[in-house]
Amino acid sequence: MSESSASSTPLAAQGLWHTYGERSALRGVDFTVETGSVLGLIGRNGAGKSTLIRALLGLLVPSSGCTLVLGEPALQLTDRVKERIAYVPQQPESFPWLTAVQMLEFLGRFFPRWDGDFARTTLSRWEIPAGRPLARLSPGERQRVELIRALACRPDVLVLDEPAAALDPVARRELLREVALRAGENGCTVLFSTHIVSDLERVASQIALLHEGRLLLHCDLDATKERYARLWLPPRHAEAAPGAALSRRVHGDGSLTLVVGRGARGEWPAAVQLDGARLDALGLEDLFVEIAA
Amino acid sequence: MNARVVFALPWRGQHQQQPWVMALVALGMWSGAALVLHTAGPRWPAGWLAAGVVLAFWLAAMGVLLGSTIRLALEARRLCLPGLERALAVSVVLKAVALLTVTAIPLGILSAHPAPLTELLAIGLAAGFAYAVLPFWVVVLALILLPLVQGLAAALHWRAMAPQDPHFVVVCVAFVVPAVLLSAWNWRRVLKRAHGPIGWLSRPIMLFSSWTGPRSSFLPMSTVLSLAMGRSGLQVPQWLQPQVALRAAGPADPLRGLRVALGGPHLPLTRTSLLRRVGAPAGVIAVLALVNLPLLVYQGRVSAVVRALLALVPIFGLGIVLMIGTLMRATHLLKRWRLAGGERAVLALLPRSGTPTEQAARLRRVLLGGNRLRQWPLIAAAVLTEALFSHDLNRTLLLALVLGLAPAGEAAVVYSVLGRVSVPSWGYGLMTALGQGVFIAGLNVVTVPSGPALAWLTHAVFAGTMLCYLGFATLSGLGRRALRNLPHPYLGLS
Repeated sequence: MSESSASSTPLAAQGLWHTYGERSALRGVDFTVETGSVLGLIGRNGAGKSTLIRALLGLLVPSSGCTLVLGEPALQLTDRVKERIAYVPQQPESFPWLTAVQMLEFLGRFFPRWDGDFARTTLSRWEIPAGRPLARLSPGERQRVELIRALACRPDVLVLDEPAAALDPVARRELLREVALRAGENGCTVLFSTHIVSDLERVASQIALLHEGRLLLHCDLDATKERYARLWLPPRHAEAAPGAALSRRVHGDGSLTLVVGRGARGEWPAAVQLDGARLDALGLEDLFVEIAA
Repeated sequence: MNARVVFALPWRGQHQQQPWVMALVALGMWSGAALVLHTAGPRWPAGWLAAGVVLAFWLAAMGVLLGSTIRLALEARRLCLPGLERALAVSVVLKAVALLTVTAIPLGILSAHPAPLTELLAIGLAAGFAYAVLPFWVVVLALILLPLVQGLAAALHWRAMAPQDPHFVVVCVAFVVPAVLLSAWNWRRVLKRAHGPIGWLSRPIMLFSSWTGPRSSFLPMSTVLSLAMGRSGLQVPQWLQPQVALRAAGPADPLRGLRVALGGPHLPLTRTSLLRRVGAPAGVIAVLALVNLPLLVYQGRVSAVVRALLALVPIFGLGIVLMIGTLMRATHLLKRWRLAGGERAVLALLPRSGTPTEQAARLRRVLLGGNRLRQWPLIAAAVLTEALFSHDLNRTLLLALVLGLAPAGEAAVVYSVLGRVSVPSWGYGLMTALGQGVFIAGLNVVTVPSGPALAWLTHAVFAGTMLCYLGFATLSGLGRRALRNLPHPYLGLS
């Protein structure tokens, strides 16, 4: 990573490995999030999404590799960078002894760009009980309070770990609208992980697919349909299957199903031309299922 | 379900390592008791009683564990699991009988007093079970009335309360039968209300810490602690909810800000809230004093009893308050630091909160520096009381050493947590069990009349205390060193 590009890149990881005991959660992830993009990080449970996010933000020490936030090493962030980032964890459980109003008032004192009006009006608009301790709020209410906290500090980089997991459809729609608004009007860079493909299609400009700790694809959302497809090969051509496939399934009769991508010059693998081979376009959800199943 | 599965059922509701730890402790206690009975002889006529009392306390702890399976039964009822409730009830009865038999038979063979020993053990087991299963208010009432009954028995010269008396069996039956029957009745009553709210009137102490799920606490004390802390205030009545003093907490006053962020026992409270929270336990103490003191006066033995009480109550009381406070803070830190989505992540990314070195120093000041006010006055008061009443330098020094375990143990937990020293849950459990054991044994040694019979216990307490100090110092050292090498102190345990 060159110094100039690194300092302008909101989030970057290079050669990231992390293990929990015997289990590898991340296996050599190289990853950058471009300025102003809304990147949807998708993957199955246990794929390593939360670990990647926490490593990106310096909340854990990776086994190897490095991560940068706005050009600074994630484990040694200065106030200059901390003021510009916001993070909402998958299961927000912070400050259960405070009420929503107390928590926002307390944390607001640390952020110079804190938008108190936004915090107050959104609390009231989202009908969060202001005087009740956070411990007594429902998981959905708790998640919304955390989202208000993250948005009220007017971040340049917003990182959300499965932000819609506990939200009802209405709240989810509002959240996505807010994310799209922040990205569109303020140029905020957003990284969010999710299982819900429809959410991703609604707001993401880019997607990244993490599977068993490996980043299998990372591209523009619009390009996925063009760039990836499902290739079925009859048993007699199984030997001719391309080596560089994102997934490979062998059926009982010896036929093969693969997810293949276009090459550097936009061409499909040669096996597509074989007699009996079938190439199907894939929607985002089908692509995810084909790769991650 | 076969008999083996039914018998092992309650253990399935405990932490995985708990049965092994319990078995080890049981082995130690049984061996100790057997040794006392074997060696006591005529030089220590009350040796059998000492062994019996210690083992009765042990069986009381086992009774609490058996009673704590009410959580598992409740979950079984809520999940509509067929047969589990009945199997649990059978298993609890089988285990209680087995525990009593396995403990009483060898003691009976070794001792010349098998009947009163068995009665003592039965009382211990039933008391522990009732403590876990009876409604909380009944347990509190019983604890208040117990000294009253003892005082009354002394005033009326009713000797049947003493295990040496041949009529002690009447006391045993009068206690055990109602305790078991009432516990069984409340067990059924709680299960009947499984699908709705369980009111304060019938809720046992074990169900106050319901957030831990069907698994029971590692030690009975943990349940009391959980109750004292409440789940972030969930179970505490509205008027006792902590009112946070947020004024100036933030970059202007980072230490106060950190106390708000760390919460629990570190939370800065408003004056009113502080008064309410201190007032409630003070009220309970006042009621206890009001109930007991007139009776002591009536006995006509005021000077002797009051003198004994003046020494024993403050030392024991201060020691227990010290221990509970320490465990509360350590448990709170461990719990919060394990959460990936807790305040640790917020603090790590909070601007204007200082450099990592400053953050670590502030954490140390809040987590340990505050102990100068929380712990040292209690230790000083207890040691001074001991010095005034015992006039025995050795005992006073031993008390100081034992009480010093509280700050040393807390420092070990704080440094190991902040420094991310890998200590498994059972390691903390074992450390707590050993620390608590030595602590309580130490308080006993310095408050009961000394004599040659207790010399071995004094030496054992001294050795145990030194062992604890060694363990705590090692853990603190490892944690300190690791903390210095971490990029920031909010990396946590997960």
